[in-house]
Parts: sequence; structure tokens; C-alpha cells
Amino acid sequence: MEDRDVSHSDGPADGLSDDQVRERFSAFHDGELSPDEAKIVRARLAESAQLAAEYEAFERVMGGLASLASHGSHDGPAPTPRAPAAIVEPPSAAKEPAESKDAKASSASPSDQSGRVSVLPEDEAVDLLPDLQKTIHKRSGGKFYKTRASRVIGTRPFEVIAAVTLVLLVLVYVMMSYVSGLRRADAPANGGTQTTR
Amino acid sequence: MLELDDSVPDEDWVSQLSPEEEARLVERLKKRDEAAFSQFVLVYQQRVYSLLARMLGNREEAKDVAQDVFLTVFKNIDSFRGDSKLSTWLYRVAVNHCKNKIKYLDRRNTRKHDVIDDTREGAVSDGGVIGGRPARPDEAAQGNELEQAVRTALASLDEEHRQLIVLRDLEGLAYEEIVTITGLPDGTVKSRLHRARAALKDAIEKGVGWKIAT
Repeated sequence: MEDRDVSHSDGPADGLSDDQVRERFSAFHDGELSPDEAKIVRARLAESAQLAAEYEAFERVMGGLASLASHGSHDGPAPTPRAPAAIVEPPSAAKEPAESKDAKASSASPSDQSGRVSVLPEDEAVDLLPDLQKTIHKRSGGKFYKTRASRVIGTRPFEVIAAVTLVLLVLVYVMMSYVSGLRRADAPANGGTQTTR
Repeated sequence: MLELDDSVPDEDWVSQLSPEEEARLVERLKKRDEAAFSQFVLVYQQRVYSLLARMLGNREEAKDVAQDVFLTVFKNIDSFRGDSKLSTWLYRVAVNHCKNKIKYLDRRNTRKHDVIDDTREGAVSDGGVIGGRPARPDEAAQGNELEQAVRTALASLDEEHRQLIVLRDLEGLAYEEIVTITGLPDGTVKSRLHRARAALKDAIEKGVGWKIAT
């Protein structure tokens, strides 16, 4: 079917046929008609009982949509409450304690905190963040949403960590050598004393 | 100064940002600022999920696609040039993902809708309140019936019609935003929306066998 802008008349507005008036129901409802055209449509609805009944039926459908929209409005069930600090908490945040899961379950229950009855599937509260953080962490090779441990380690350059580890190993080696050197020095001295006796 | 970490944000956090603040937020997102991205997700996850659930008619698919939408935002935020609002761009990404998912599911012939009877006592619009007064039982029942009929009919519409009704009548977006999201000319959006609404009315009358009478 041809797409036409029904918000504007093609000819003189006062010559609208019934079908042309029907075509304008939608734009009339949205207030998209010019004042002149809206006036004509209003007049036609007033003079034709058939058109008036059809427009009323159309309005009822729009009322049903408005009702759905109000149930699905986003001021209802808020996303699962989350402490700001946990926002940047990484994948580990996905491991929620049992009580948190309970809280989530209750948030998706028919009656939310505002007392509004949740009747739509799309009204269900969702919490996408933990899984998103986990996926981003994984796909970025650990670059984003790091765990606490990797964040601490990640702040130090690898070279520094390697150097410190080497120094520690050398220190341990030197200490062990020193201790074994002392033992060796002690052993002949004790043996010598026994021989002289 | 744009504060991101002081509190759990609400929807207004982004929608009320001035252009400068939104630009700063985009800058932070482009720098892959984890805190900014996390709060962006918290603000928009419900809206994106709701949009996708309405368009796909399936919660699990909607959750999966919503995840993909935010992953795309994280990865491709550099392609956002600021020609539209950030939220409009996000909707566009969501709608594109949704279209791809529908095509994929149709190809595999595995598409299914959640059929949920949400008719509950007091579940009529605004918790059983009509025009500021409690709904009478007959009105409440009628409201539930209409709502359920609209939901069923909406699910039966073709993708294009459902998309326009969801964006305009359920998400309440302005025509200009829908034009940006769908890439259709303004006049086309209006005429298709008209046909979509007419198709919805027909679907309610035919599919449910219920004449919308006055």
C-alpha cells in the first residue's frame, strides 16, 4: 500500500469523504492535524453517527494501549537496588548472596514496593548488569571490570613484580647459603676439638 | 559536575541531562569508564528490556537481546556522533537488534510468544481506578478484557506495525524520535502508524471475536 502522510489533506479539507475522515483518525487522536482540518473532522464526527461510533471504537483501542503503557511505565519496579560501590564491582558481584537473590525475587513479585500490581511480562524487573560485567570482563581479556585481586596486581607493572620476586629469591638464597656456611664452619671446629682430646 | 557514583540513578538522570552533560557522559562512555557505563545500564535496562519484550513477545529472548544491545553500546559507542539524543541512539540499536533477532528466529522457525494471562483482580488500568474513582467490578472486568485483547492482538501484528505501535503508543516516543530510530520519513511513519492502529483494531475484533462496540 502506498505510504501517504495522512496528517495533511490533499485537497480542500471541507470535502473529506468518510474514508478520508477515517484515515485521519490516527492523526486527529495525536493532535497532528492542522487546526482547520481538525475542525472539519470534529464537525464530521458530530454530524455522522456512524463515523462517531467508529472513532469511539478507535479511541477505546487507544485507551487499551494507554492502559498497557501505564502498566509498563518505567517508574514502577526499579531495577534491583544496588549499592553504588557495587556498581564497579566486577564479575565477583555476579556471585550474589542468597539474600540478594531473594530480594530480586521479591522485586519481581506481582506487587512491587509502590503497591502497583505488576501485570505485564515486560514489567518484570531485570538486572542485566552482573552478566554484562562478566561478559565484558571475559571478552576484553580481563581489561574491564577487573576482580579486586587482579585490580591490585594490575596497578603494578609486571617488570616491577618480576624484579621484586627475583630480589626476594636472591635474598632467600643468600640467607640459606649463609646459614649452611655457618653450619659447615661449626662442624670441623667441633670435630677438631674432639681429635685433640 | 556530573556525579556518577553518589547514588543509584533513576531514569531522569539521563533524560534531564543538558546537552553538555550528555556530551560529558558520552565522553566517559567512549573512554570505557566502567562506572559511567554501569550507571547507564542501570538507568536504561528496564526500558530496553520492556521495549524488546513487547516487540519480541518473549521475555527470555528479550533479556538476551537486551544484553547484546548494551554490549554493542559498550563496544560501538565511538560510532555515536551526537546527531540525536543518546537515548534515541540506544533505541535505534535496540530496534536493529530486535529486527535481526526476529529474522533469525523466523529463519529457524523457532519464534514463540509468551502467552500470559495477566488478568488478575484489580489489574485494570491504574490498579482499578478509573477517572479518579475506584472501578466498578463490571468496568474492571471490561478493562481487563480490553487490555488482554489489546495484548493478544498486538502480538499478532506484523513486525513493522507492532514496532510503530510499541514505539509511539507504549513507549510514548515523539514522531521525530521514531523517524530517527526507524529511518523512515516522517509522513511514512504517520501513515504506517495509522494503518498499524487500524490493523490492531481489526485484530482485536477478529482475533478475539470481540466487537469493540460503544
